[in-house]
Amino acid sequence: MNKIKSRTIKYIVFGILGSIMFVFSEIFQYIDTFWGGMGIGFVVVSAIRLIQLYRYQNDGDYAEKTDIKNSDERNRFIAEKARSMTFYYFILIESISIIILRMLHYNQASFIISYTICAQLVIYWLSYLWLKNKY
Amino acid sequence: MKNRLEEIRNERGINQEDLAKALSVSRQTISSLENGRYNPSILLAFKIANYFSMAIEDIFIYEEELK
Repeated sequence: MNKIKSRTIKYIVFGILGSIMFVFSEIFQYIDTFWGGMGIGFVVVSAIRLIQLYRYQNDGDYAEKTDIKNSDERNRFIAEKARSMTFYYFILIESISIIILRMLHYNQASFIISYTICAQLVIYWLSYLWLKNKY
Repeated sequence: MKNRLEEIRNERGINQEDLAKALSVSRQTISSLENGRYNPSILLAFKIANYFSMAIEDIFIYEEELK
């Protein structure tokens, strides 16, 4: 129950923050419209999450289905597999992009993607070492 | 790994939905197990064996992988 309460507070704060960003960007025009768009995103995500939390508290069937969905081991396995595939294909796409961008003389973009790949691989190896010691 | 889950479930007259509920998994998980598309964790295998009051090896049949 405490978890639900803390999540509710978190999403309300998130929603308020999004509204403030939208108001200051679109209405008062103090900040860039980029932040206004992001603010709307925050508000929409918060609203969806708050509706889900409300349903979870008031609809027994929905709560049971959600609990099973979150704890179902096959579902977790699929999610992990999907994340792993995403990482693999992302690295592949990034590597191809580096070569193409370099050939088109977009050197800065090529460098940024190269550094991103390096950072991803460093995080991967650190995670691997940590998990290797853990299990 | 092969299993006799569908056969045992049918013998006991239990549907996939009820078995899924008893094991706190989704109906799709039961379906995937029965079709052999998904192998359960040791924990779920124990849960299934406990539910049917059987030994794990009476439900799940280990087959050596072909190299």
